[in-house]
Parts: sequence; C-alpha cells; structure tokens
Amino acid sequence: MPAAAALPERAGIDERFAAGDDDALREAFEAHGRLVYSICHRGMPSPEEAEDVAQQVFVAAWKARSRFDPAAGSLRGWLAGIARHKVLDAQRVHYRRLEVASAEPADERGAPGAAGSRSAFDAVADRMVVAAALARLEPERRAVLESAFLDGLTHPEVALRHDLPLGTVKSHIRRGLDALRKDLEASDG
Amino acid sequence: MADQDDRAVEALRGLADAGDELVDPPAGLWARIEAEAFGEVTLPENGAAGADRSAVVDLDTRRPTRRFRPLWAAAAAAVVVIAGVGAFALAQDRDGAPAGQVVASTELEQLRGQGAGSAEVLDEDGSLRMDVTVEGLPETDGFYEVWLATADVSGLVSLGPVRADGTYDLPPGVDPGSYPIVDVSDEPLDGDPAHSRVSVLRGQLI
Repeated sequence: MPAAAALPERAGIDERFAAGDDDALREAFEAHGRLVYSICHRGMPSPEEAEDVAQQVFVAAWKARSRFDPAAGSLRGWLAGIARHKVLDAQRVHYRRLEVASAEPADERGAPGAAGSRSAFDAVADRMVVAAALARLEPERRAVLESAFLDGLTHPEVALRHDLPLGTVKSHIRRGLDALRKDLEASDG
Repeated sequence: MADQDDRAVEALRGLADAGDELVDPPAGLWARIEAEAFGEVTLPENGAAGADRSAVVDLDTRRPTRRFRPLWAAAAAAVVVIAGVGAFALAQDRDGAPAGQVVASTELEQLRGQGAGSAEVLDEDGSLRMDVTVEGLPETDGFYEVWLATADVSGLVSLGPVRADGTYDLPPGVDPGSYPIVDVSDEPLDGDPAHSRVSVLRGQLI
C-alpha cells in the first residue's frame, strides 16, 4: 500500500508552469521532484548521476515550458516523460563508456532498447508515475482504486468497505484508471 | 484503449507487491536546478576541478550541459564591487541594535555532493561580521574560499580563504541586501584571485 499522504497541489500549477510564472518551476519541483528523482534514481547506477539527470530534467522542462500544453496532459506525466528520456539517454552514454573502457559489448540485460520486452526500468517507472498520481487523487477515488487493485477486492466488496453505491465504485474505477492512463501515456514522451 | 488500461492496471497491481518506491531527492537538488535555470552560474561536471576555463557554452544549446560561462569571467581579475549609495542599508535599519545582532542567515547547500554549512551576518555597532561554519568538504590541493555575491551572481566580493575561527569582517559597502549569496569555492593555487568557478557550497541570506 503506497505510504505517501495525499498532498494537495495548488490549483493551476500546470497552467502557471506553461505560462512561465515566477514561482512555477519551484512549485513544479515541490509537487513532482520526488517522482522525477525516483525515476532517475532507479535508472542510473549512482545517486550522483541520478541527481545530475534530475537536474537536467527540470532545467530542460523549464526551457521547453512554452511547448507544454496543459490541455493535452498533466505536468506530472510530461515531466515523467522527460525524465524517462533523459535516463535512457544517460544510460546509453553510460553503456557506451563501459564498452569503450572494456573493449567488450556491455551487458545487454536492462540496456535501453533491449529488443522485444519492456524493460524492468519501464515497469518500475510506470509504477512510480501511478504511485505519484494516486497520491494526488481525490481521497474517495484513491481509496476505491487501492481497495480494488492493491487489496484485490471485487467491486461489490469495495462498495461494502467504503459504503458506496456499486455504480459510484465503477465510476471511480473507470475515471481513476482514465487519469492514470493519461499520465502513463504522457510519461512516454 | 484496452492496452493502456492494462498497463495502468498492471502498474497498480505491481504497487501491491512493490509498495511505494518513491525516494526523496537530495537536499541540494533544488538549489542546483534554480542556479542553472535562472542564472549564468557555473556548475562544473564532476571531477572537473580547475576545468578548462576557455569553455564557453550557450545557454540555449540543444544538448543539455551543465557548464556555462559565468558573467564574472568577463571581468577577469576584478573582484570587488563597492556600492556607495545604500550601503549598510540593513545596518542603518537597525540603528541602535545591540552588538552581535543577527541580521541575516542561511544554510549552505552542497553543490558537488559533499559538505554542509551555515552562515550568519551580525551587526556589531554598525559594522557587519559574517560567521560561516563549514563541514564535510573533501581535502583539496588548493584551498576553500568564501565569497559574497549579488543575487544574479554577477558581482563578487572575496572574503578570503576559509578561516579556522569562521569569522569574516564585511568590507564597508558590502551587506546582505546587496550581496545576498554566500558561496564557498574550491580554489587552485595558481595565483589567480578570480573565482575558480568551482563552487562547493552556496546559500542565500535572508
């Protein structure tokens, strides 16, 4: 069960970021810095490299802020997408350096673009995006999703646990998954 | 969009086993982001003490890089900037303040992954003194130096090498209102009084 408490985001941070408002970058860091750093931390071999990539993510996002369209997707998803790309770029550089240093092809397990399968990094990044999005959902919707997917309750069991009509439960699940799906799509970049 | 739904569901179910894998960013990360996004401040690549000083990188280059030409490099060896009007603005606002009154302070954030510190500016009967404590910095071939800088880091005042007693008298005309940035740099022994562009700690006095 995700442990992060639901922290309210200031309304309109996505729009303020796109508009380039004075404190918007700081607000974006406070709201999404944890998610961005976590993706980098998972994808890079050391905390120092993770911090370096996380810094690049926010600086690049700020420079590209006029290209972020709040209507098309959430700032969270957009930042996560930049993070995934920057991690993959940094991994490629890292693996190339390993190859040059050792004159042998680097271990391909987990290397970016490993043919066919979604890498372990992709799956973890997805979980992180979803965990961060879940923490910001309206509390009732979050509780329904957690009961249904983390605790594995059936819809009627969820309705019983939270004293909600079955239709409300289904609506929460449908809309909640919709929001999560959008964040995941946006995080693909 | 069944595929995307499955992906969202798969991620959600994965949380049940994996739990919240989110980790907090290190304390200095915001300071580094702010410095790079809003100012021409040098953040040399790791291990690049005394790095190539002729490197000039346009802020708008497409390939992300953390090495910028700082504004102060253009001023070469000129280090001290004196403001005549408005000097001692903070001290004047505190007429009659008792000796040793704290007028501004800050924690110092690490910029290169090591160290910590804090700084306090005290008013002693109209003259300003800054106390700086520093810890956890690695041994250097050169020495560590303390600076005050303007908010956009374009003007610098050197307060000299880091001192054992941690106290620095601020020159006349230098006050936290005009020079709010405290910077500790790693300086090579090359006889060049200019800032090396290798900052290890930084904070903003408030």
